[in-house]
Amino acid sequence: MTLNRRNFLKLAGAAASTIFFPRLVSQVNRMRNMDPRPNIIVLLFDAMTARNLSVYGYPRQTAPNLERFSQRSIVYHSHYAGGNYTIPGTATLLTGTYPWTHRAINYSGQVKHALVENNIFRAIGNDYHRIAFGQNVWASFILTQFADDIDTFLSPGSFSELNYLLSDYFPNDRNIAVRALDDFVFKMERSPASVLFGAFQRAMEYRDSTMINSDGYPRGISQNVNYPIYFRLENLFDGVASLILDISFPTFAYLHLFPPHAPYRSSDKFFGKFVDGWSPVDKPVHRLGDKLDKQVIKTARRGYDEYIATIDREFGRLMDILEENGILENSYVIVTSDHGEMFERGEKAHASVLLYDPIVHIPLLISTPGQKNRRDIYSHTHAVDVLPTLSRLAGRPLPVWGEGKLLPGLGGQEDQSRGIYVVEAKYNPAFKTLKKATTVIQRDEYKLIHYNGYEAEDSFELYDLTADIEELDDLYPMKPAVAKTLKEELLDSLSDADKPYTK
Amino acid sequence: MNILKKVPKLNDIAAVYAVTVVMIYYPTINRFFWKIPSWILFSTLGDLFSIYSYMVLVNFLESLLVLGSVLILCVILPRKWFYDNFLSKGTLSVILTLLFLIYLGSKMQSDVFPWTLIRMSPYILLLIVFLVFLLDRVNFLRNFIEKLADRFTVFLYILIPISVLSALVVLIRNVF
Repeated sequence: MTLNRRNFLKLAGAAASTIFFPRLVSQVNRMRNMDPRPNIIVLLFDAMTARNLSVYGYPRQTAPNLERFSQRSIVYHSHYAGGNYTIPGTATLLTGTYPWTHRAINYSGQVKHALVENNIFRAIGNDYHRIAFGQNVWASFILTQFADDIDTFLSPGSFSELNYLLSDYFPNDRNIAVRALDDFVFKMERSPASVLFGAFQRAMEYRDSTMINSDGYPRGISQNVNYPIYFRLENLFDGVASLILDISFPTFAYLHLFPPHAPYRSSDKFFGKFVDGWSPVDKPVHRLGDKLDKQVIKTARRGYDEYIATIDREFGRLMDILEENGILENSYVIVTSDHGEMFERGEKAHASVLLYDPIVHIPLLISTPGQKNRRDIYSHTHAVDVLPTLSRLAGRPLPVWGEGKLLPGLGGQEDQSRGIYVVEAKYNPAFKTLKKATTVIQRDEYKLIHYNGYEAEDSFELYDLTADIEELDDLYPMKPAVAKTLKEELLDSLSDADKPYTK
Repeated sequence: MNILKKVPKLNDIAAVYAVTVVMIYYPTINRFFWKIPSWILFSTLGDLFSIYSYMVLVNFLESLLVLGSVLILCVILPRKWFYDNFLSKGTLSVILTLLFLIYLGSKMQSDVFPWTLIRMSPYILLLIVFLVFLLDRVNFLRNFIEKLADRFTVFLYILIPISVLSALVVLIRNVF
């Protein structure tokens, strides 16, 4: 090719497009090559505990469609979250590191700036089209930190009936805009910080929310707590379905759905379904808990179960659509959660410092392309394992910074003797040593809980989860040898994690 | 009708604007400092400054809207109603209206909306109008408000540059 003026301009144009529109170029290349690699679709249900799902043995039939899905999936029975609420739970899954490493541990917290590049979207690589949807605004906080590695970023208000999020108008500065405007100046949890616009926005939101059609939802349609987003479950799932059906292959989609997070808004079909006289095992109120009335907790559990059943019906509809369109034949579909929910010991929901099984034991079901049979994995797995596993499935090397392992059944081996950790430290400064925190280590059948900084002296609890899944018998005084080993390991790990913050 | 002839003197506008700015910025800045202890747990100084910039920009737009409303009233109402004694009447109307809005805002919680107060707002506005026009007859109050507004102008020297800088920060963050 001779370098005349026309060719020079063509070359300059191509070079400029590569520099200024790299995502567009990579997408065009992918479409041209018709890449045969499978899609990876993560469907994360916020605050969904494994303990209240019938697929994991819960006596109430809360999730028949998830049971149906499990027949073509790998079912992980002992999968655990990194933390007990959205910020640490989501950050752990998206960075493949424990909360004491990524340090997104506070309400509205953020992943440590130095670690932002260590995220699941970068690990998957830009050969994949990467979609992120954090319907929970706090999940979206974390996702905005990784915006440079995301090709399609959906607002938390997508697929909603009413959305007054202002950060949507600042797509180039989402992270700060959402924190400044939606999480501060116009936040709904208390009186608005903005005298004029805040009051006006609140009035508009109240007016419009009363006009939303809530037919079929006796308690009103679903809503994002503390943020002005209202949505109908069927529209949310329809939106997710159309999003998935429109994807260009190969795609990595991280879809963080707000339900079944409170407020629990079941449809009329399931409202009252679990007025059945069934009661869970009675457990003592914990001294660090909220000490709520038993009837309040029981009613909340019933509402939660009915909400899960409503969501499960929509999930079943979504799976039918994906199956009919052949998506399940060429996609990994991962169903999981960021943390659990608990209704016991004087507590409801998850804003607690307690780390009992229901609040950290989350579902993990992975349907591999074309899978027809069920496989069960009973050894411990953790949210930190998702990132390296998906990275491997995308044909990428395992990230050196990840703290997880490949999941059994997808390249990894079952290892019950492995230690896994859960960290709750919302009241501790993120970049200081963890002096006010609850930490957990699980190894083999044992689980050790360490309460640090809440009372005059630290305290520990030890449970045998194989013999006592309800965590009723504290073995800490009875099994000193086991307790000593686990305690040393937990405190050593905590000390290692705190090293960068120790003067 | 020459509209420009009904626009108040710049010094008077500045004084009314100063009161507006203080009343609008104060609740937000107060809340900002209330939030700082939790933000510094995980935010950098750069993050805090950026959040502050968005916050100030919102307040800046609010204050301009309020000032614009007062000026429009001044222009459209008969000269004797508002233009005469603009400084005192404008200041008092801004103070009373914003106090009502602050009180209204304090009653707005995530699950409670003060409908009764909203329904009463036309009567409250009538009361504000009555009190503002009463100023014509209460000299000492008029003098007091004028002196107060005049002293508030010092805040403009701080808050206006900060607002302009904040607007620039938000613009730069969103363009580049």
